[in-house]
Formats: sequence, C-alpha cells, structure tokens
Amino acid sequence: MKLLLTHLAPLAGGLLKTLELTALAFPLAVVLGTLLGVCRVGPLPPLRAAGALYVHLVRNSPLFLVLFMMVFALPYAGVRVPLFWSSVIGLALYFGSYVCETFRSGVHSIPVGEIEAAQAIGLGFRGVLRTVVLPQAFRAMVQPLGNVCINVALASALATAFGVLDLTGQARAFNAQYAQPIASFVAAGIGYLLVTLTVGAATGLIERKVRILR
Amino acid sequence: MRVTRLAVAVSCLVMTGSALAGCGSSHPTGPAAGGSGKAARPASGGDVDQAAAVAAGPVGRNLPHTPTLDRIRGRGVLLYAGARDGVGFSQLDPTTGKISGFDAGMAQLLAKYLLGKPSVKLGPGNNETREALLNNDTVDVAIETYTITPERLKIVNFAGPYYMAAGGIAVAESETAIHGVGDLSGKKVATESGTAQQALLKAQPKAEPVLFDTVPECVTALAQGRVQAVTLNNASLTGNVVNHPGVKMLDATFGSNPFGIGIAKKDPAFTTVVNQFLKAVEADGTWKRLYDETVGKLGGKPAPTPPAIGAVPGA
Repeated sequence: MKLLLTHLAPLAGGLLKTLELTALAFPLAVVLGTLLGVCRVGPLPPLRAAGALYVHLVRNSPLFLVLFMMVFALPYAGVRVPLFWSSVIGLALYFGSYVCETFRSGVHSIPVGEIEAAQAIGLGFRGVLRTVVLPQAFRAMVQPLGNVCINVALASALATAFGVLDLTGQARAFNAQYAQPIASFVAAGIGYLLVTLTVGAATGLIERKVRILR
Repeated sequence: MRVTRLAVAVSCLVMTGSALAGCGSSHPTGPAAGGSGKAARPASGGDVDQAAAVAAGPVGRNLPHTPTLDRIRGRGVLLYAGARDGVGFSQLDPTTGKISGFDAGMAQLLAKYLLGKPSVKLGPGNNETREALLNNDTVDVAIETYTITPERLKIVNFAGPYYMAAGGIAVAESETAIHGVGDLSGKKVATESGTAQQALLKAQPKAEPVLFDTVPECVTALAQGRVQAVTLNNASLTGNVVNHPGVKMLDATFGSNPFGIGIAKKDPAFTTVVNQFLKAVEADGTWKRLYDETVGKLGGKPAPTPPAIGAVPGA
C-alpha cells in the first residue's frame, strides 16, 4: 500500500490519459451518432438504409475488433493513424452507433402530433428537426447519453492493449514491476469510479435542469 | 423489416470476413504460415514437439511431503500457470489441445519427476495474476518465461534459473542504422510492459517504449512502421520473428532475463524439490535435448550450457 502511494504520479498520469480519451471520443461519438440518427429517422430511404447498416455492423462487433482494425488493419489500406488517435477514433466510431440508437429513441419520445403540427405550419424536414425535434430529443437523451459516456470511459481501458498508457496501462505496468495485482487493480478501479461517478452526478444535474415536465 | 434482416446478414458477412483478416494478420506465426515456401528460414512454431525429450526425463525418488506436493499427488495432475501463445516456449494448438515448447516440456518433465507420469494441466494465470494464483493455491507452479526479479522474490519463491534469456532486438529488414541497444536512443520501440520494458529502459533510458499486449502485435507494429524496433527477451522474440516477412533479428543482445519456476512463498520445501529436479534434468542431458527440440529448432543454434541452479541471489 505504501508502495502504491509513492507511485501515485504515474497512476494519476494514466487517469489523465483515460480522461483525455473519454473527453475526445465521447463528443465525437455524439456528433457522429446524431448524424447517423438523423439519417435513420429522415425521409430518404438510401440514407436510412446506410444508417441502419452502420449501426448493425458496428454495434454488433466487439470493440476490441474495431480498435484492432484501426491500429493494425488500416495501415494495410495505406492509412496509419497515431496510436492515441486510433483509439479515440475507434471509440467514437463504436459508440456513435449507440448514440444513434439513443437519438432514435429520443425522437420517438416526441408526440407525433407536434411534428405534424410543425409540418402543418409549413416547416420542412430541416425546420422540424431544428425547432421541434432536436431540442426535445436531446433533453430526453440526457440520461442515456450519460450511460454512453460512462461506457466510453470504461471501454477506453482497451486502448491499453494498443500502446496508450491510460489508467489500466499504468496499473498493469505497476503490477508488472511490483507484482501487486490486487493493490494496483483496486487503485485503477477507484480511478474509474471517480470518473464514472462524476459523469453520473453531472448527468443527474443536467437532467434536472433541462427536463421536460409532461 | 426486410431491409433490417438484409442489413444484419450483410453485416455478419462483413464482420466474419474482417475477423478472419484480423486473425491472419495478428498471428503471422501460426502453423498455416509455416510452410509458405520459406525454405531458408528455420522451423515454425507448429513443428516444435518436445515429446521425445519428455519421454527420456527422470523420475524422482524418495520425495518428501510438502503441502504443494501432497496436493499434486492427491490430484494426480500438475496444475501450472503457463502461456498459450509463446512460440517455442508454450504454444497451445486450439484444434488438438496440444501445448508445445520449452516451458511446456519443462512442466511435463516436472510432472513426470513428481508423479511418475507427465500429466499436466494448463491452469489460469497470466503475467498479471500469477503471483496471486500461486499464493492462494489456485495453481501449483508458474512456468511461463517468468523472469526472476528482486520485487517478485518478495512475493513468491523461484526454483531455477532454468533458462537464461537476454534482451533481443528486431528491426525492419531494410533498417541499416540500428546495430544494438545503443542505437535505440530517441527511437520508438515496441515492447511489453513489465520486465521487458524495464530491461529496455535500463539498457537505453532514452528509448521511447510503445507498449502492446502480445508479441505478434509488437512485431506487426514494427512491420507496419509504427515503431523502429521491437525489444523483448530474445526467447519470445525469435520465435515470432522467424516467420514474419520484412523483419529481422539483430545478433546483438542486452541485459539478462533469468527464467525461474514460480512457487508459493509458504512452501520453501517444495522449492528445494523443484531445484533438485532442475539439477537432475540438467545433469542427465534432458535439458539440452528439450532445448534442441524446441527453442533450438526455431533459432537454429545449438544448446548453450544450462544456467547453474541458484545462480540468481535469493532464488
């Protein structure tokens, strides 16, 4: 335990790396997921099919495979993304599919009458989306998006297998040197709890602020 | 509905295809890659078979009673922590369930010495959990290219060393500027966390380690130009480089990794028994025979003199 306290600096560095991965990948996933979601609820059949294909393809494959493809398969196609960004993009691509489905359920929470009313006063697809659907959908999405954010933070641990020294990576390095599996992984677990509990609390706060009372 | 079903079918096909492609690139040293017209290269991992050496191994006489040994006798099988992807040391063939390599042979020889028959079972335990699993009696011993270090000696006992590895370096075949560990200053070097990373930084503090999970991943990262070199103990590295096109091993090595057999801290009497076993297989030539049939076959070099048992302080 004393040993662990003297090595807090690298563990804190790993925690920071985990936060960076989450803070970069989650917003990218939200942007990608929203675009996909708009495709899936939109009026154009080819876009709807493309969105559905993407979600079925990515959501149903293991994240490890997505990251592995980013790191080791893309170079065969002539694209070599740095390791840290491979993990960020891989996480964003993967969780974008979850955000997309979250977005769809957010849209479905809006009464059809409102959308019909908006169309009746002459708003096009874009107008309906911007003034009626998106503002309400995002409010309904706060809790599920918080869940996705927590999942991104936890799943970012896989990046450690691909050359990113995040919290898990530092805990493993500590364990490899001092052979203290229980101490090092409990410490990492506490680090992840700090991140995820903070996200959970923030989600609750935002939810209370923006909730629509029906 | 039809669109959805079609999408699922297509995605399944695509993912299966890409998964296969992924496997192909992640295990470039598998048996399938072995016979692909590389006559000049040494044998592949699939050709390693330690059965003859094990058949010639000794059986221990008048062995004492210790808690671990009694547990092994009661079970009739030696349960050990070992690797599943260590080419030349401990490689599991998933189709036959056969484990081949130097460490696998050492485990079978130890079982034969203790029980009279080479009856072993590969238990759980990777380099993150083996100390905990040894000390809570989940496995009897750990035989998995397990480097004896002062930190580990505080937590577990080691019999041995039974093998002396050194830091090995692999680079791209086109590389001409790197001749030894001294040339790795400021270079990105793929390696594994733990003793491999520590050995690299001890020999070349200015190297920039990039950590991967497995040896094949390190070698693939090198082949793809993500890093300029790979350093690992030469035992693990040689087997993986042998069948990988575009990369080569350097002759230079650095530092030393003495491999030991990990044993629970609370049973020092059993450590003595295992050390007797190691002395026996070194004295009667079984050690050299095992080496020639496994690691020696991959590296194409004759067996060295086995390390003196007890050569590492504290082990």
